[in-house]
Amino acid sequence: MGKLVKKLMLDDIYAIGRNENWFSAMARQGLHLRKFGRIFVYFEKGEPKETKYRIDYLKGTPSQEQLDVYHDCGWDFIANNGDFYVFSTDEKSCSPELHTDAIEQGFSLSELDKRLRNNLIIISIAMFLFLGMMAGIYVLNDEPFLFMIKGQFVQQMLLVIVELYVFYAVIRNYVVVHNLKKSLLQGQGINHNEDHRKARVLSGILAGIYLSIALFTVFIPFIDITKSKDYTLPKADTDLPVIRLAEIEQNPDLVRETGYNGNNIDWANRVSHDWSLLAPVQYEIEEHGIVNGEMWADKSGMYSPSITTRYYKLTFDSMAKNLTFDLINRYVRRDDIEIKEFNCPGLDKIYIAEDDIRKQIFAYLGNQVMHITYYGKEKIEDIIPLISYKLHPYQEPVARED
Amino acid sequence: MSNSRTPMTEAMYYILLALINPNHGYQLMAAIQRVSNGRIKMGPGTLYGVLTRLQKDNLIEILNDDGRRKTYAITKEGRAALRVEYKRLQDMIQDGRILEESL
Repeated sequence: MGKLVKKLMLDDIYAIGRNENWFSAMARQGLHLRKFGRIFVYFEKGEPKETKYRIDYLKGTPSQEQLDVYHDCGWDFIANNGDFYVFSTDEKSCSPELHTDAIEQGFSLSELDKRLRNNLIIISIAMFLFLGMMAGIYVLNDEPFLFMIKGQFVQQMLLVIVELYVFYAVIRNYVVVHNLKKSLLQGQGINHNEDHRKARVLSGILAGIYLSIALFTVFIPFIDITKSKDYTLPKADTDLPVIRLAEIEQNPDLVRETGYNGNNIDWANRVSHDWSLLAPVQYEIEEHGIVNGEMWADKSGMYSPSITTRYYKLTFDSMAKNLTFDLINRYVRRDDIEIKEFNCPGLDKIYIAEDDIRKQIFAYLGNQVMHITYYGKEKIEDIIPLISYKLHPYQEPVARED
Repeated sequence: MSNSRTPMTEAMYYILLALINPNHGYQLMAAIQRVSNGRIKMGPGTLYGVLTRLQKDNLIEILNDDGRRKTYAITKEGRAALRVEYKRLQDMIQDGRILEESL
């Protein structure tokens, strides 16, 4: 036995005429079909030979007697994949055609045609539900942009593409078989010399794209896991895009107030870093402080200011405005507080919402969005310049040289 | 399915005709050639395709299956269907007389 050579199937198994022609072309190069599956086809190396191949759709395993009759007529069984059986004969032999009646061959495809149609109906319903669900996630969401960058939007969209490709393949297979059946029933035989090259190249490209997308989709969560981390906010100055309590309070008596400690992280003073394709840099930073000897204005206890900074660096500038609105919607709007809009030099836009000791600022510049929630007695106007300052050097580190 | 309704395919007609005498696969091909006076050389794919379909439609049955070879025979329904088709073809020939007369 000669060496086995493995080739990619690429084309649909249902493309009967094209595959027959491909097998013949391979035999002409000395590669004789031995085995074929959905993905790989195996050829045995040998002498080049003119060989005719026919693919027959047989429901149920053919009996030995049937194969003997085929053999006696000059057709040798080579391989099968499911109900598709391949027979071959020498091009020069004068064996009769395997099928001499196109209409009868058309009847033999009726059942397959019906099965593929039922598949298509079921998958169409499933696709409809799937797409509806996907659309619903975003349409029914109050903060779609926030959900997009936080959630697995890109991955979900890639999943949609992958699903659509599968759907397309199911439709394509059904159409091929249905049209083949129709033309056979009209008495038109299968074209055994249908060009296989173009279809194989096209299928190859499509399958390559599909596989890359599918693989990429699988890898995204891993990148996400490796990039996301939590740690305690250092007491010293950092490079982080954060506004520190010390910068606002300007009080030497301010000390850190530690909170719940789990996993060696002080959760009241922590940095959470996250990643997604649409927002490759995401921070949520908490800081709590206390000033010994000073009370809140209402004398409810020791003065203990705190600040939460949310920072997003987006892939697309155009999402910054919408993300800002979503953040406002999530953290303010429901509380019925007045939101004031400002045009601030150095920032694209700034919004503030003040509710007694809770002060919130939302700002965006280019592809950066920042949200500050500050609990304390300092004035909001004093915090705004800090934001402008933070967003600038972070976007262009070069600007620091002054 | 209405596949077995008239008009029959040529393959179906001759297989039914040949199975008036119970027969098995390979000899059936020879029998068809004989019955059709050598006019029809049926491919094995077509032969088994039709056998499978006719069996499903109860127009033929397996008389005997010794594991090595199956012997097929026409059923009562098969005979009836064949008769209907034969009558139809006869009518067609009859109607075709016009051609003879016009010469």
